[in-house]
Amino acid sequence: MADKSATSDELLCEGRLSGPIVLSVETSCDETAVAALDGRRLLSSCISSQTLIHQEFGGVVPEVASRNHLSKIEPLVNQALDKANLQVKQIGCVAATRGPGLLTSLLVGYSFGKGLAIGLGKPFIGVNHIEAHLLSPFFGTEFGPERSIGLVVSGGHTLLVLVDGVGQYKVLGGTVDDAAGEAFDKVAKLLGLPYPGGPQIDALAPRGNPHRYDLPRPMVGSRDFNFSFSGIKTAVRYLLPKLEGDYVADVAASFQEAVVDILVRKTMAAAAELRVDLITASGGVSCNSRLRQRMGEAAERSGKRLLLAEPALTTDNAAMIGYVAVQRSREITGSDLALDADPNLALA
Amino acid sequence: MVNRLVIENSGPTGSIVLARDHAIVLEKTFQGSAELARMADTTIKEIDRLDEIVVGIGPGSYTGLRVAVATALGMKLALGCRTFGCASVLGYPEENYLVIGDARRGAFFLAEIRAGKLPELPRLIPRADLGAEISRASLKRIFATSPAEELPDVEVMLPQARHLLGRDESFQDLREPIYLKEPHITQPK
Repeated sequence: MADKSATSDELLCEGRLSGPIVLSVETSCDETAVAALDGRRLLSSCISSQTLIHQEFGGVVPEVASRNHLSKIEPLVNQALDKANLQVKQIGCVAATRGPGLLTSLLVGYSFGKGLAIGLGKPFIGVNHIEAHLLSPFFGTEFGPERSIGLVVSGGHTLLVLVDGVGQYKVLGGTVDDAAGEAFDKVAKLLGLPYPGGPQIDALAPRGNPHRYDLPRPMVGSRDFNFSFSGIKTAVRYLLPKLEGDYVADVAASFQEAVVDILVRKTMAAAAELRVDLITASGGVSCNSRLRQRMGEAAERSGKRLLLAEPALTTDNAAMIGYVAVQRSREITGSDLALDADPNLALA
Repeated sequence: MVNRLVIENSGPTGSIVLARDHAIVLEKTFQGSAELARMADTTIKEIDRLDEIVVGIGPGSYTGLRVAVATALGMKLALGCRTFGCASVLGYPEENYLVIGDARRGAFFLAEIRAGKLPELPRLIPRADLGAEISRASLKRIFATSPAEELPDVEVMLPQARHLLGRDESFQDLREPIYLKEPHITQPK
């Protein structure tokens, strides 16, 4: 079945549109996401969020997440195709997140994507979720991924990466304990704020004094590019019982300032040491308004170029998965059908 | 002529069957999601048109079942074929029997198959009650999906796709696996 000739619809599609249509799927955690891309042009991006479902548990419950992925995936793919005004037969390549992430969640999108590719007789590409975040700042630019220092910062990951092009990555450092976004969520919980805590702290911090409490900056002076955030969280835990009155905004602002301080200083140090002119930031925490402001100021001071992922691309989405597939589809001749999903998939 | 693909993946080893008007033309076993995808890919290349996909929906390993269901749903979208779910416990070469499976966390499921059908959803029983349940059972043919200390004389056999092939009367719309329990949720401290 896979070797059949192109139908008239496929030929019409190839004549009308500028590149191979990529249908991409992302289910690495609690967002079910599907996107359609025509080359580098985003045709549709649909996300079904489970945030409200998991809110009552204070975090993502893997079994709940995978059950919801399975019930949402087919309607969401149909929705993405409708929004893009595409017929399923026009898909030229299917991509899905291979890892890292929650295995039971990954397997839903990854298996659905494989089934779709098998049925269409088209290539299947398994995409690294971190790579997708890492390259997301380049989405929509005229140029492709180029030499840069990439900060990937989210609820599950905090990494500094030297990028030398698509597929050429050197991990410079990462967190030795909590991811930055995880620390945001935990501190928000200590402050009585709802899950997910990152956006709550971001919204609250401008009303507080970021210098009111002197919180530690662990590892900021270390000679490597690793991070540590659990110490700040612990400092907040010991601080709170001593406070009285209206302190929540001040604690939120002080905590946010400490985390942002570490992220900015480490990133700029890496760019300076390796003499890299372009800095990127991506992942859910890169949407934090104070981080975006401080990164902009630091880049300007040091004469570096800065590319921040568009806010819509900072949380988990399938557009970034499709973007990596588009970049890699030129070099891939076969298919990743024989590869398993990998919850611990390494970037490099 | 109806080309039907049957996928059964409720246990550690799965099976896949391609049939033409109920006659098996190809049968394979596999382990893991990657092998399932490769098997499905090579299997459907044997035919020019696929009309139906039937998937064993359990009870069994939630992960394996979801992999099979998701793969089939993806194939359905591409091929425009029909998809059906069928209780995996019907995948045995008998008409009247009992299937016992480990449902984790100290529980087992019991499924009673009569005249080739599953009249009621499998029920959960505590591990401690297993011996008494078996001695009371009116069905004397018993299969276990995995070995257990409490089942020393019971034949261990996984359901097989070939035996789901002819269970048309038990097919239903393919949506999700048979979930015997609510998700296990631990509240963070």
